[in-house]
Amino acid sequence: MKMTDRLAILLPLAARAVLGQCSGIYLVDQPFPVSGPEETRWRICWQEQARNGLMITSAFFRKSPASPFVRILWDARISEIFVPYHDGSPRYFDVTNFSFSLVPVSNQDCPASGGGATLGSPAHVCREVRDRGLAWKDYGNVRRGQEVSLWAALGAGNYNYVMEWTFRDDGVFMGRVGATAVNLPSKPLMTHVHNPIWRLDIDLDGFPGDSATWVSHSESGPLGADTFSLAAQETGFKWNAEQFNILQISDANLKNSRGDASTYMLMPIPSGMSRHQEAFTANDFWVTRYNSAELNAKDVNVYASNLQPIAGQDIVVWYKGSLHHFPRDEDGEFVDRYWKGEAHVMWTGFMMMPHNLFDRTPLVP
Amino acid sequence: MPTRDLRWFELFLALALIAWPAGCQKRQQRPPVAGPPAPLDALTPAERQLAEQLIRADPGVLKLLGSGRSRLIYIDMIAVKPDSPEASREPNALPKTRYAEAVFYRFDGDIGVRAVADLTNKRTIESGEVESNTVPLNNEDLTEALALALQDQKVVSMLGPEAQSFRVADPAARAKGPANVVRGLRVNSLDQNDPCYRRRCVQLFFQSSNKGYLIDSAVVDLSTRRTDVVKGSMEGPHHEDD
Repeated sequence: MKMTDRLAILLPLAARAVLGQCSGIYLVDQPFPVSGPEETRWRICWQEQARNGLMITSAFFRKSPASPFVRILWDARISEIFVPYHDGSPRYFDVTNFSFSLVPVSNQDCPASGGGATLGSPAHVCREVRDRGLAWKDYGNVRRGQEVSLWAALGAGNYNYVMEWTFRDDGVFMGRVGATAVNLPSKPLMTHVHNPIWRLDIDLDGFPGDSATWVSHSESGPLGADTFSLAAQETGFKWNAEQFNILQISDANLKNSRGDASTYMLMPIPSGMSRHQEAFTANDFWVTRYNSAELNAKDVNVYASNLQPIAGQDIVVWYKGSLHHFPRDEDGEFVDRYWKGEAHVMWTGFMMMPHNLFDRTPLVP
Repeated sequence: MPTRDLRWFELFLALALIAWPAGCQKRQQRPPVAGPPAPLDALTPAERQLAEQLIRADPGVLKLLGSGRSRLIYIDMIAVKPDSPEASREPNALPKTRYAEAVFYRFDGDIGVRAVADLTNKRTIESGEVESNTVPLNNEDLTEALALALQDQKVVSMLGPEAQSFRVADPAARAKGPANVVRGLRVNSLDQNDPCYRRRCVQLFFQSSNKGYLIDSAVVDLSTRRTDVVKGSMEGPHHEDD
């Protein structure tokens, strides 16, 4: 083979390895374990944007150094945080009603001793690489897991919303929102619900060819069963705790080396599921066909009403988490006509777990 | 160059090119080196400026904005999916073009305007009207609302001698500091007879440096430039016991 032919092969490969979709502080290229030979790796791009705060703009995962990177996400964002109060008003849309900024972070938020590093100047984002507790234990054999987390806080008037994205060594991806800072000053003792709604443009192994399946557990006498219902057209789903519902996202071609279809399973991490009068809150999950103009969670019921086919397509998943904030003395106190105090963080979120992405147990030993 | 030496040279070059990313990764932990942004990097200040220039010069946008009062709400990068699915599977695929989205609010007519600029080819490629309730308020709105509120005697009386010391909270401020600051939330009324049902209204909360938040607040209608005082509540929800 001529030298020029060889270079023609090598250079593009190398160039692709060098040049990435994002760079500098916007690239999180995290091998696991954090020291020693790589076992798994995430390659993530992020950005801070005016409406949605901290967003993930791409995420790829590889299950071993010899495996190719698999795209998991095109785009992940908190599309809305809807906050209705118990007496009917106000009813806030804390992402789309105001172009709030991320608040500054420092070493106090993100100590290096805890694996933290602030990103940006001025810094608004914290990257934490940390031990995540037990990955597995089998009597005397044990493995602790690791994860990388990106978080920032949206300064939403009296509240700060912590937006956290976590990528684990076992391929799990998680999103959480935490509400903290100060109760609504005009009625600090009024109960309310914070509803973050995530828009997850999941593009497993690229687009299109993705499908969503609703998984339900049921029991009859001593017997249990699981039902898989493929979503044929744009729709919404209500989570039922007794059914252990999962939304499973699959790709037409992605399989592991055992020939099993590789999927991701989206599971809530809930304390409750809200149902407000607004139609977009009627479901906990929505699945729509990708449309670059469809970004607003408060219109998701309208998007889904088009009933476009979504099996084997480029799809977007919307997930609503809910925090029921019942005010307590720990939130603060009245001093004359002032309210003083800090509401400690309350969280809600979801987990996306790989299913048959690996060929066997990862992170062993 | 003798053939054997050429083979070693090829091997050296290939290894150097493949090993280069490992060095890059370490360097990427430091602040970015000046150079063109990668496809999914945030817009640079120069790109934001270019986007605004392109969009404001576009005839379609000019027509939508009209000659009356309007406000730029935000400019951000948007990523456009590639035409080929294969490109979306490649972790290092390079979209050829950088795009920016801008959203404006036009006061007369209560409409939003959205436009998209192709920064690589230096042209506006899309513009259109959007519903005003999808256009967020921003800090300029907040600053304007505070100025209006502090002209209102009801608000000045509510705040007392410190009234004119209040400033819009600086989102970049690291700590609350000694200042009296104002934060705001948009008001969405459910009552169709309420001016804030459709108009851009802001509820202003006054945070005193050492006392906390005043529970009384001001609601400013930015469209009519009218201010009202809202008395805060110390009551909690009614408990319904079984």
